[in-house]
Amino acid sequence: MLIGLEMLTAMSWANAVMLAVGGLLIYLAIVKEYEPVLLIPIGVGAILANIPGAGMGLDLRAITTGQHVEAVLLPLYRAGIETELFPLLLFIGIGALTDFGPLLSNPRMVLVGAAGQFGIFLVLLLALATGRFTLNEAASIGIIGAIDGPTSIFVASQLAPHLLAPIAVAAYTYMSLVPIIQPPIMRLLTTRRERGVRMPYTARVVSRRERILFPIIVTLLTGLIAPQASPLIGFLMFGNLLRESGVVDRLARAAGSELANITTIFLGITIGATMVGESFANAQTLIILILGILAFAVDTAAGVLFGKLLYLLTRGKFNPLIGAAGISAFPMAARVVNKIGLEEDFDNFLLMHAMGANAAGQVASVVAGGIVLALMMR
Amino acid sequence: MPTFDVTIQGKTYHVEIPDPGASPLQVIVDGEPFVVGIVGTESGLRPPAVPVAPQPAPQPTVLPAMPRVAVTRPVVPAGAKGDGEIRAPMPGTILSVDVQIGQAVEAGQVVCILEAMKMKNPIRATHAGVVADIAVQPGQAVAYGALLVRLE
Repeated sequence: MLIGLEMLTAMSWANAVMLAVGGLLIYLAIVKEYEPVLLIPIGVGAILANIPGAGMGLDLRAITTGQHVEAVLLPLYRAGIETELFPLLLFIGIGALTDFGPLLSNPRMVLVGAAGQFGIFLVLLLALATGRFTLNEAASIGIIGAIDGPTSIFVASQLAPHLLAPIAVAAYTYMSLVPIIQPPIMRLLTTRRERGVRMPYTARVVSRRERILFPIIVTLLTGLIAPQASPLIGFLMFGNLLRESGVVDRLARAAGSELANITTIFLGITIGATMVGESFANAQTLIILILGILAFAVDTAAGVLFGKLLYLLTRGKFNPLIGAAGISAFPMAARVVNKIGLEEDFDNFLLMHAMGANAAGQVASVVAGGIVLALMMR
Repeated sequence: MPTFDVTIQGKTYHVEIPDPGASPLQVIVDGEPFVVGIVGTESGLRPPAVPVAPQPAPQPTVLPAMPRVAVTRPVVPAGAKGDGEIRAPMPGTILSVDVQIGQAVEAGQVVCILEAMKMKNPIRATHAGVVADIAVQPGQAVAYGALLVRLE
């Protein structure tokens, strides 16, 4: 009883808010099944970090200004997030799980993936316009729009490590909200007729040689265009080569399950533990969350508008909904496109086209992250 | 691209194989694409791409001392679904078949669930009819254009 009282008196309002936020994330994960793999570790981390006296919280403001911090998870933070190792390890697993076949059989989808990154740069400008953020901070916030958790962490940990917690939480929470945020924007910007454009499956067979050369060529090309993206693209494509080589199934399986799962646990709980008291529960976090969702909405809108342009250029043979899949949230965005397409015409399956655009968005968001890093670190 | 002119029972077919290493193998017979699955080999060597008889032949004709070959289904362009044939709109795995032979279905009714890219896709009847034939069973992998259900 005495101990319980001690906890209550040591608890600030901010801790209380963050305990509730942790509970909300766990609720969304379990009841709504929104990205439970990430939201449960993050939610638990947030709860542990806000128990007064438990010594679990990672106050990023204190850590990044060089103050002495003691916390159980500090070694994980230093080893995996400060060094950017966790997002990179996670990318090996994502690469091993991603089938770039739909993109290879329909390479023009690369354009859709590029269009889906527009919001990053618009929100960068918007964040600067608020006058509350430096250029580096604004760039890190813009990256949220790509809905690419690992890339957001990678960029923020270099440009604005003190903002890592809200940026990572925004990227991962919005990833889970793809089926809620995207459909209204897609419906608003398209006519029934555009949504009903039929696009039959393209049966072009992708050869094994193409599948093997793809990760190698993309790695080298990225190295030329945006070398700052090379660590992310290189690890993503390494994982993909494990998958497509066909001779190291053991490694591909380990990367896609054990490595990705263990990294997700470490990354999730460490990010969760950074959501500590006043350094998270403040107006700045709220503004970052709002700008982040705006970046996501603009990315989606830019993708759909680009899809409408393709609709015009192809004289009505391209379904603009596919543009919305040009973001990184793979394969959620492609599924949403397929679902909205089926609502209009139950016999019109856009899934494979959308998967191509989605795979392109996956690569494009990483390259966009690299370009942002290149511009900022000049 | 390897090309062959194959004569089977007096008729000559022009066979092209875009990628001999692909599995399942795609072959183009007189301009019409087929998906070919190779079932087994007798020699133990990697089988050469074997031309097979296209649809007009009653069943896959197998050349002697060659690997057995199963032709799954000619690839039919989507939209060309006459005769009440419901075909796979993309490659995937049949999760469940939701109708029975003899059952009357309405337009828009789900006939089976096709899982593709880990997404469950309801395949619906394009018009009303009676189920005359079910060509697939749950767990079966289907190629693009494979016949799923035939309505009458």
